[in-house]
Amino acid sequence: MKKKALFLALLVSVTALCACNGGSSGKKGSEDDFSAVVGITQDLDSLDPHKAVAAGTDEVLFNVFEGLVKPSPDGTLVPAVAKDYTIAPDGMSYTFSLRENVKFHNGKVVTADDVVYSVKRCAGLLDTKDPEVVVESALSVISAVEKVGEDTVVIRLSEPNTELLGFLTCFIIPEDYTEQESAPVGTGPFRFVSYTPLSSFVVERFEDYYGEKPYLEKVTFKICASNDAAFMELLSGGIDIFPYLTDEQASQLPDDYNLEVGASNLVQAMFLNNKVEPFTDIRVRQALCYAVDKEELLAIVSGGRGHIIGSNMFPNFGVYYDESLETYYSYQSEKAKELLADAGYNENNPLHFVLKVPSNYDFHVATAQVLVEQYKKIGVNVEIQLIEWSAWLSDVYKGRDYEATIVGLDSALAPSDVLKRYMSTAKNNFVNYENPEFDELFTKALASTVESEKVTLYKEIQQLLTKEAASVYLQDGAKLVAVNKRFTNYLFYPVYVQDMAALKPAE
Amino acid sequence: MRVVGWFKKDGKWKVNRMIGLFLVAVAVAISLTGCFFTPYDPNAIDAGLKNAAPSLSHLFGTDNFGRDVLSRVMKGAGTTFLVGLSVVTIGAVGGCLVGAFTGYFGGKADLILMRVNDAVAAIPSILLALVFVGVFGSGTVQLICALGILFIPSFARVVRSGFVVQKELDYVKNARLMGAGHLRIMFVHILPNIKSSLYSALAIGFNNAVLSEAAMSYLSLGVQPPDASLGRMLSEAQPYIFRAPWNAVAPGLMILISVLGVGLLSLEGGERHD
Repeated sequence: MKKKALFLALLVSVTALCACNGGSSGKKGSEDDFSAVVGITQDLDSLDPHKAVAAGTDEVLFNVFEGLVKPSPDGTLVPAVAKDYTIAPDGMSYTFSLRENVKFHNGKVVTADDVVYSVKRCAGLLDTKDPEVVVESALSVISAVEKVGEDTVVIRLSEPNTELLGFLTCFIIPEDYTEQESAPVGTGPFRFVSYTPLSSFVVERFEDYYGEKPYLEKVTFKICASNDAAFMELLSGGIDIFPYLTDEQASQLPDDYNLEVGASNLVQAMFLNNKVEPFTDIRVRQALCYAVDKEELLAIVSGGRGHIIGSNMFPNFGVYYDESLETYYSYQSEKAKELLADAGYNENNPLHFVLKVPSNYDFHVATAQVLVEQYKKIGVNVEIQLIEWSAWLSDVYKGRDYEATIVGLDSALAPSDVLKRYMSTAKNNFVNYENPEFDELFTKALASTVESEKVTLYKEIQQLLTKEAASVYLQDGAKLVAVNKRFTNYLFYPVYVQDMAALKPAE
Repeated sequence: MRVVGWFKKDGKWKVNRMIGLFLVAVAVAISLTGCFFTPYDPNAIDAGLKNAAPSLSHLFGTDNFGRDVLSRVMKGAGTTFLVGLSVVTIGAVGGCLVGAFTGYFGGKADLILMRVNDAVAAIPSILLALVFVGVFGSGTVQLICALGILFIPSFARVVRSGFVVQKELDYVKNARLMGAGHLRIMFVHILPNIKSSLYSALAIGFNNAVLSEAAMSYLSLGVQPPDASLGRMLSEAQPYIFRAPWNAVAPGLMILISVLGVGLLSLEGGERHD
């Protein structure tokens, strides 16, 4: 058995070597200038956009579907199927007026009925519910979706919420179309052509698109077995765009590819279970924050490309993001030692804790190894325990049975989404953070209808988390994308999407 | 004379055995030294020295954290050999007990135990170890237990077949006539007589255990980072195979040396006792 495994490993490396030699001959992945091949590493879990769970599916379907509004690269939401919208001053209702003559890929014009149907489907408000549809929990505040006239839709809420717009990006689909799962139909800049499981997902330019039509005529999303396999394919010229480069692969990129660097839009942190000894003591948590040399961490795990963060938010949140917190806990090992000594930990009674890390994320495992060494310098013993992803989800995330863990948290385009897990009542509060001051600030921020007040409140919330050292916030990692030099204008979004409509030819 | 005799038989030098002993001695020396002394702290990271090529200060280069590969191999080899030895010990002791009882007494117990044995042996060892680690968590101790249990069937078979043959021989009957108890006959009389086949089983078992440890750590289920083991080092070296091949070469060589050495030793290990 094991001999066979070793032999296989050898075989793979030999194959890899061969692939290398054959590669970078300037060959194009696609047959002509108007088509592109994008490498993805996850198969699509459903073609029905409301049934897809994986972020990897959404990022592809973004090209085929649109919501009432859609995210833009600068983090704002721009009207899509809706022409414009108004939010009632009390935060209890949203009114959308639809764009005229938006067509579905099957030629039908989008009506208010389609919109009502789609939003209701996402919010779980349809009379006949399809159990496979993933109901977005944030949309549960919707009490009614009403059609008012031919081109106006009103969404009514059961409690005030001015940040629902970020979730109304839910895709609009035709009401009376039943083959969404085999031949998806949406309103996006590309229309579906074919899907072969574990192989490819192909789309072509939608000529009746209401907005600016894409330059590309055809885009093939090639599903690769693994990150390494995809990179090998890229080296042999079979892939034009590969969005999941590792730092190591980026340094081996062939000449005919450009390296685009964006943000991963994740809050990577060493999360501490605030209700477990020794992390009930704020001095211990603060000491752990002071003891991390984030510069060194970034230099080792992400080639210095990540962005240091200081609280539970990442820079792409723009005005809401408080960048002053990045340096709040600058590296000060002496201070860390003092705090630990105050808390009663010294050489005779060293602090010791177990750090559970999901084993499938090499990035987090690498981060953990660096932290262990950095903590050793202030006399803290950290024991790494690798656990499988499903076990992480059940034990750490749901069961909250852990001392410390490293993971990256993503977020929808609403500051409330990234921060709400610290509410004492939040189901996903796996950090076990409980602070009445936080709850009060957060409730106030969520209901606030004045933008400037909202910004101030959310900044106060971030400051609170940082001062209390709720966790050791590390970085928003870099996202490295290989783009064939034939193309330019690869856009990064603050959410997980691959926008192929924006690609332009390189002149 | 005795030492020379071990290397020389019928006027011919036993080259296999000599090379084997040399390789094992090298492996043991390296890992033993690693317990007391390594050129650098095997876990100390250095951001300025990521994937540095072999040089005079770092003979086998550094890995992607800037850690000294030689120090990690020295330390990791110790861990890997410890796992290998423990696994073989558990497997051999368990296997001897099961094999001795089933082979000596025979009957229904033999039938049932050996079928259980077959069942355990029929499941791919990596899969079973994965299940074990999945239930009891990952770590060096769990890994040793899991692999140890998995190694019982192979030893049990070897021992059982020896016992089935030996129990019919005259010396066993004599012992019984003299009133020796079953346990005494099994472990004092018969066991020493099958030690030649046991030696081969031990050597092969040790090699398999080292490779299993490597495979399990490669799947990040064994030794937990940042501690080194040969398998973990190979696993961590994989992404850098082209840019920093020394990351993989050093632990790979170490596995090669030890496994080849023990293998060569065991090749003729049995002869002396025939």
